Amino acid sequence: MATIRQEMALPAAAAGRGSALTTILTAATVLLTVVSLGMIVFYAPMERVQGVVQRIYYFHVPMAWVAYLAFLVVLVASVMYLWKRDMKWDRVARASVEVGVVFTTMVLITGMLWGKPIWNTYWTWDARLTSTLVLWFIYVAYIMLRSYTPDVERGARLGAVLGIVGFIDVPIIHFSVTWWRTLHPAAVVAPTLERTTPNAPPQTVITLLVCLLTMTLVYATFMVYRTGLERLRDQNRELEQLAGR
Amino acid sequence: MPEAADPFASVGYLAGAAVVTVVGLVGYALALAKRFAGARERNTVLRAQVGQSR
Amino acid sequence: MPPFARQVLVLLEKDLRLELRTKDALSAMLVFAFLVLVTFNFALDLRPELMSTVGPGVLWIAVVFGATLGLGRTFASEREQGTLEGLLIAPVDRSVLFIAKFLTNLVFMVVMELVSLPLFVLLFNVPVQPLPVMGILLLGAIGLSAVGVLFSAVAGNTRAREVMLPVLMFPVIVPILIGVVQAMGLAIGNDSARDMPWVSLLIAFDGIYLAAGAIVFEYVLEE
Repeated sequence: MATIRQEMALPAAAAGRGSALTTILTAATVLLTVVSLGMIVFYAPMERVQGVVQRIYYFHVPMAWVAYLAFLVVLVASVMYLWKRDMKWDRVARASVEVGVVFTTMVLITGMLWGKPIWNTYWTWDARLTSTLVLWFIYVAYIMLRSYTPDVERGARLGAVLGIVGFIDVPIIHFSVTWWRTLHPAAVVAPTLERTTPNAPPQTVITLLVCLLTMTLVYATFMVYRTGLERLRDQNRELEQLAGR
Repeated sequence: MPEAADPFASVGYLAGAAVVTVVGLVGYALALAKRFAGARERNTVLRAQVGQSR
Repeated sequence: MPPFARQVLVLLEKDLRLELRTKDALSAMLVFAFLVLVTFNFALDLRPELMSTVGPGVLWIAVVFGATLGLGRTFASEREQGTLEGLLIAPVDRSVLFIAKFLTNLVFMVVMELVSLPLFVLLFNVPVQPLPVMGILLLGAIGLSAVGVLFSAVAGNTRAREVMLPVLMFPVIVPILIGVVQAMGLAIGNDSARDMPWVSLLIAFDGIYLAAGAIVFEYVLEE
């Protein structure tokens, strides 16, 4: 009984009381998003070669950074779960995988929209896009695995294994794909900033850093609510078992 | 490749990417809020049920 | 002989003897690999001049598909007959089970490769240096078996076992895919792959996943 009572404590956000920290985080995120958008439109310098479309870079790169961050969090949460067996770590993993896949999908889409006007093709099997696509598959497989595993404890264990084994592969995939592409260059290479401009002006760097920070806060905000959702779901599952008796 | 002549030629793609990003992230946030509210509602209902049966 | 090795050999011998009696896994793998090779002939226009670039990929895909077939079944017979519980109750380290299954599948894969390579040479008229190519195929098989056994156990716990094994495996083995095909291209006489340490990549991948698999396996089979 004691364990059930402990688990039943509603997370502050769910109870509607709204923890002060969460509110501050959400507000800061929204504020920073507005600032970033403004900077992207007005402050960032016009890029000589690519023109206005280069600004996609300020969405694309920060989201890629967040995607990798999300999956790193999955790795840490997976290790912690296997070590401590505390469900809260599994909730973090579940949440971060979903958020990570969302961001990875956006990286791929924005990458395609960037490539089309520059190189007249939506997709190119260049190193970065290809690695990102493989990454996407690994974590989509995670989501599928969890959905096929009804038993929560088993799902958590298997998910943790996948979270660890999958992330180990990330650098290996990166190297192998890069080497492959070095030997057999793609007909078309996805655009970046570095390739077209040797020295990026400071405004570019500043805008990028602000966008990076914003995107990280977006991730953090999503994570707070997403883990809260998982906690509610876990509670509902337990409650359903109790009610069923 | 759009020549330097008209840097705004590809504004459509930039707008598209911005829209996709915003719709994607905001959409996800809204969906998340909806799922959250739904789960909270279910939570309340279940608590009531369990409270009664005790 | 240290107890670990002895336990592994016992399990390995059991699996191999079982397979020798029924031969169902191995024959399925062989037939399927052969079939995939033939299917490629219909699917792609495999003109002789293309074979040095496309050939390695054709052969390796056939091997991977055949291997996946065998891997999907590797825990199935134990589950069906309930012998898995017996293995788990026995005081053996889970990594023993992993290494034993890894070796079993490796043996099957190597046999399949030993048959598929001559078939490939025959069907597509590709001159190969057999020893280097077999070496590369062996390295690839080691990685395939390590990842495959791990994910077979993971997927085997789920309702949709047949779907989840390939979906889990294929993204993770991308480095082997690239490495084997590139290295084999060299052995077939395609010089462009020379500059990169593909064999080292394969060895590194194999080592990492053998170690990782052995370490995490206890978490996969906890019931």
